[in-house]
Amino acid sequence: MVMEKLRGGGVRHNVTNASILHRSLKEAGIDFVSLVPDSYFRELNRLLIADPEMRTVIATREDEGMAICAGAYLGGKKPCMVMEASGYGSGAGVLARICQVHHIPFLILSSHVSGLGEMYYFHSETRFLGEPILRGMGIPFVVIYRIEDAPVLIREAWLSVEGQRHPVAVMVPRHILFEGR
Amino acid sequence: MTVKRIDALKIFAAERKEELVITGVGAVGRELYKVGHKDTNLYKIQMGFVSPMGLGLALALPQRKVVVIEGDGSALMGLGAWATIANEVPGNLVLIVFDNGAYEGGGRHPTATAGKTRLEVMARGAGLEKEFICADLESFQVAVKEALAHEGPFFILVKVELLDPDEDIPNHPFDMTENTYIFMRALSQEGLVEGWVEGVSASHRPRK
Repeated sequence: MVMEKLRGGGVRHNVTNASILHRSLKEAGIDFVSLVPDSYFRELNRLLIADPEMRTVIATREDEGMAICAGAYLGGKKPCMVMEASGYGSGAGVLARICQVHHIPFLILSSHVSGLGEMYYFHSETRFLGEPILRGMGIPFVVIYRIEDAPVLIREAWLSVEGQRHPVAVMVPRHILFEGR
Repeated sequence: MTVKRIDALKIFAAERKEELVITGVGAVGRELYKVGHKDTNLYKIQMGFVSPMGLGLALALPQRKVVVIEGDGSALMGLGAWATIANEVPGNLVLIVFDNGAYEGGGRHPTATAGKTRLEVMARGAGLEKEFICADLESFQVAVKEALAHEGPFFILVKVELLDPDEDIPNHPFDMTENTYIFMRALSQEGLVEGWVEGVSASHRPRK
């Protein structure tokens, strides 16, 4: 397994799992990504940006990236917003208006979950904003607890996006993206 | 010197051919509906997100011009998107900002452009290099002709008057959900995307 050191203390990005997430997105048909870089998805984002088959747009904010994804969907792309879960805070307006009122959907792949493995106090807002906003807005979401589930969860999530014309979120906890503690 | 926004929209409607159009909220979309509706118009996109939606659409359909039309209040809410657009360089994207210096639909309170802020300087700073600053209808017509005919992205800023509050601009005869489906159906009928079907729209893809 290829691992890369994140910072001191033995915490390392899991490059193999990032590769599996990247491959799962492609196998689901995702061909357009907007992302706001975050530390958890560092390796996945590197793969997405380097992928010539994936149109990747780095946005200045998560809500801007969501709107870019919505425009891409109108043009026939299969878009995914890749972001930290704190982006649900800025993105809630887009999810309500563009996704649920205009009926323009996209997939969301977000890092962090509500509590599991969250080892830094400064990531607390991801816990407050992520799953509570998704629950409150009635947006379906799943958590990838085991990396071997990633291909089927991402594939099925996209099918729901297309079939229901509704955003769906796939959330990725720390233990999938990092090795060690 | 300023112009009436609806007069500028009449010029745009006359020059426009097959371009896809996304507008912001407020009277600008209702005025465009009145003087230049097509099924390839998507109206009432929330403030701050008209330009990034236009960017996504332009990147998905590089063979077709996409025109974003919004007011200064909406533009000010989404300035980061200008930087993203400038760096993505979508040659088929045109941004038109009608600047009346006010939140027209929100009590006519002043926006920052009524004070010290200059949108053309901010656009330039973001990296939008092809710009037209229009103070009259003649220069706006020149700008539209140029922008629709050449590789962009273009930024067109037009100083406009506030809408007369007694002027009646009827609302659209469809809601925003219906507008989306009309728009997508139109893209399908124009051959830009594959057929739009019920259920899993696996066929809703860019046409090869």
